[in-house]
Amino acid sequence: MKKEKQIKPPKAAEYILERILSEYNDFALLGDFNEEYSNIFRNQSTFKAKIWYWKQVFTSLPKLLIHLIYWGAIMISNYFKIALRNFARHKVYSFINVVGLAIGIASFILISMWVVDETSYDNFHEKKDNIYRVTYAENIGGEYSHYAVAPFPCAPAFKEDIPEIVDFTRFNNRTGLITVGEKKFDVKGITYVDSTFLKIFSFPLIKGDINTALTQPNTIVLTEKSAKMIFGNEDPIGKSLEINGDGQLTVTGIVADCPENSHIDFNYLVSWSTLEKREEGEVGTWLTINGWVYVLLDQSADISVVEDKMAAVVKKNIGQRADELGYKLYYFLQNIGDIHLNSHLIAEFGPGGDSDYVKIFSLVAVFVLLLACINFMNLSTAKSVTRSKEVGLRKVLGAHRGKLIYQFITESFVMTLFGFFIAMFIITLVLPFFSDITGKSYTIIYLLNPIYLLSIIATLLITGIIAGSYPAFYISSFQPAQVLKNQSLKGRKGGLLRNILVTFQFVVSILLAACTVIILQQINLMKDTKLGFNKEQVLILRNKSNNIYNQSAAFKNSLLQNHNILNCAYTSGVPGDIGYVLSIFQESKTERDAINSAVIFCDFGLLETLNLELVAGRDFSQSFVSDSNGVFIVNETMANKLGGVEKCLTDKIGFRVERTNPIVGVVKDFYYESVKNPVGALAIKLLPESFNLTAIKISPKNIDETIAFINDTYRQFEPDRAFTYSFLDKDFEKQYIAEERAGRIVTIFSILSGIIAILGLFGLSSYTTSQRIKEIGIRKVLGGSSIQINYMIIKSFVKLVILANLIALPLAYHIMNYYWLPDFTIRMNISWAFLVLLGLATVLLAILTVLFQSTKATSANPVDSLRSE
Amino acid sequence: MKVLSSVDEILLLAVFNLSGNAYGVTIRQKLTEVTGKNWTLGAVYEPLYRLEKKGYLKSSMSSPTTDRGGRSKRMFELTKKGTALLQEQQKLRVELGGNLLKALT
Repeated sequence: MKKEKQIKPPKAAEYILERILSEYNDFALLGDFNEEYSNIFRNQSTFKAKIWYWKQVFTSLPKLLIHLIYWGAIMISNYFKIALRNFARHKVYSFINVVGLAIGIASFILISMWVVDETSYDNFHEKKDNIYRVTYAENIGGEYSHYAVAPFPCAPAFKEDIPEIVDFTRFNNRTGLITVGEKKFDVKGITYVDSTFLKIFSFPLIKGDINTALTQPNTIVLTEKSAKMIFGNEDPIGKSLEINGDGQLTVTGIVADCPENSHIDFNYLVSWSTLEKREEGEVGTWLTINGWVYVLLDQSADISVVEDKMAAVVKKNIGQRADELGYKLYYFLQNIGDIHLNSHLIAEFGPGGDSDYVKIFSLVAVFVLLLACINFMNLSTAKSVTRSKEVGLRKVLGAHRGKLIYQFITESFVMTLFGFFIAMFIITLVLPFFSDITGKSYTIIYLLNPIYLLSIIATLLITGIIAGSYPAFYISSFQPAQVLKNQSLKGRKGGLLRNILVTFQFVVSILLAACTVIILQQINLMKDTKLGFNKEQVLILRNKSNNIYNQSAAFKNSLLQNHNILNCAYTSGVPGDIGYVLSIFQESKTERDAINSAVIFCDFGLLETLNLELVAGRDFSQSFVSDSNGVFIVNETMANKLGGVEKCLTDKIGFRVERTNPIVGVVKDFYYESVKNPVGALAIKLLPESFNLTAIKISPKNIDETIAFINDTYRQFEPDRAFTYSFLDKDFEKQYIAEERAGRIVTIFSILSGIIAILGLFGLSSYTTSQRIKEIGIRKVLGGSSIQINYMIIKSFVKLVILANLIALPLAYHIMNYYWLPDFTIRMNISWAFLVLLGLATVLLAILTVLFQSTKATSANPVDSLRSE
Repeated sequence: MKVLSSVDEILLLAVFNLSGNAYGVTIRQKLTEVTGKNWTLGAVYEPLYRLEKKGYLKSSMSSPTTDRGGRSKRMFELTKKGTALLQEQQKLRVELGGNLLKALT
């Protein structure tokens, strides 16, 4: 007997069977199954009994599923039908809901595209966890500078002495003129790299041998795009081309185009040995910073240990010399994944992203979507009164609460789905515009990526659930007896929550709007700041080869023949693009007292071209013969570092050992870099043979003609190279591109969130006035004036908006004043008056929105609303 | 008069035959034994429910036993209506084919 007690069918199977049979409400059947089981168990074997039992389960499953699906489908189609009927019956609310959701979803998808893209930088490298960039910092004369670039000789030295460093590649990026036979191409992105480049990074080689492609001197690997540009459809392998007339290079491979989400970019990869051969030995020195250096570390390497070892190698190689000079040198490692968003060193490859903006925009995306969900929640709960009878009846007819919740969530999914289709339409429309302001090239095809599809589906599900769950739980909780007896529910239940949600919507919208206004004001302030030099009508011409160099005087003279060209100077840098930061030494001090300073090399006329103001001394002048031996003009900051304006004019300075060049003048400080930073030390050296750039001051009259003239003149001297010019003011403003982008993105999404909030208010006020139509009628009959009644309705909403202002404005002030603005040297004072004005504007907008609805109700004849009943 | 399908008739007969001990398992065993065909519980229960709905059978729950995992049995009985129909059907058989068995042998 004891044994018999233990005869029990498999638990899982019994559970399933129990589930299935619960549909029939007959547990005797389960008992029968169990009895049969024990019979087989006793007469045959446990195994056979189990097999039999499971077989029973499996044979009954299909039927059960069909049953569930059949009835489920009937119910769902009913839910859909009811949802669509409701949609059609309440057109305005449905429209507000769907449009709100569409805007929310569209914003969310757009921002996610941007966020995903920003965070995907350099993720495609298979060895990304072990690829590090070597960054270099120096402390010279107490001034600490941290660079993204490093001296090239460090790479082989590290590899030799540090076992954890498996491989390294240097990366030297240049521009140049490519010649193939008669054809000439003016190109960017000519990059000298070590042969290991293709193995460390995952830039797939399409043609060629990864092991030998870049080992030999005078070999080049083209990207697909550049191969197409130069050789068309011919097979480029084995063909040769020339860069800047420095000998023939043989094409040994084709590499896939560099993806956009890579922090480095290149079009041509030239073997490092080419550079070594040309420079007859090692490229670069330990005390110059030359380019980017990447190392591949061993999997198990400990970064801080490797950095310590690097310090030892540096000491061994350059320690003594650095001590003599009083330099402190530091080398660091930076994971490749951290570069795009988190690295803001000197001489980055390009303007990187900013992890703060990524975080902020992710939040904005979530909030905009949440606002749209709140609209749905508010309108659905407010509308619930009209649905209460339906709910009551469904309950009476035996609907469980669960089924009702299911029904209302289905409804919110239908809405979300509609919203999604409209959102996709919106996205297709605005994508080019969005790509433009974010500086990326997005296409709708981007969204066909399975990860995106999955996350979009997830977004829709989550949106549907968030938007639908509260109304579903709320509405399904109605007691049938109450609602059917017509006891008033008035839709006021849940009114508190609704008020909180409306307030929240306005808090978010006002917060975004206030931040937007502050960001835009700050950008304008930076643009309007007096820079101390003239940036208008200054044309910057990029000189690209030796042709102009060899005939510099002639070129300058031909330019100056045009009376619309007021001035012109050759220079190595202009404000916004200085180029050099060097150590400067004083004659009156020792070789150990260096000052790090920005340096411009230029010829006569730069001060006039840029309208720089002298505070002491004189400009470079051809009438002083000694000037051509090299003299300096420094800015005030530099003069103070050198011991004061007067004193420095008697001193001599120079780079490293030769400290023999007199300072002839001191210019007033001007912003030679972005106004985000205070003005630093600057030295301008007269060196009439160094000029990457020609700065040309032109008259504001006939600008197009003048440019055409410059173009013609340039062509005479430089027939092969492209005529590339820009305007100094535009170039300078490019420094604010990150802020401008942020500003534009925030503007758009704050407008959108505003629209959603106003739409919500519109729907809600329309709904509550229609609920109170009888009350309004009675008030009118009893002598209430339209104004009094309007005031009463408006008050109930406007107090929420005012409350939202009271929360949002101080919050915006706090966030911007303490977290965003401190990054700027020139920073605006947030004016409270302005914020209050913004607050008043939102209140006014809210009043108008509600007024639009309430006047409709108050101007109606009370007879219409009171006649029935 | 109503005419039962043969499956329904066999089922009703089985319930009659098992008088007092007719429930899923026993009915199934009986049918398997008599027809020599393997009947599944589902094939037994579906018509049983139908016949109960039509009022030819009635059922009651018995006390649970350990063998059945603590579940009670649903015991089936013929109703008066069911018995009457069976009797009529039986009569019909005798009238129409009373000599059938003899004729064959």
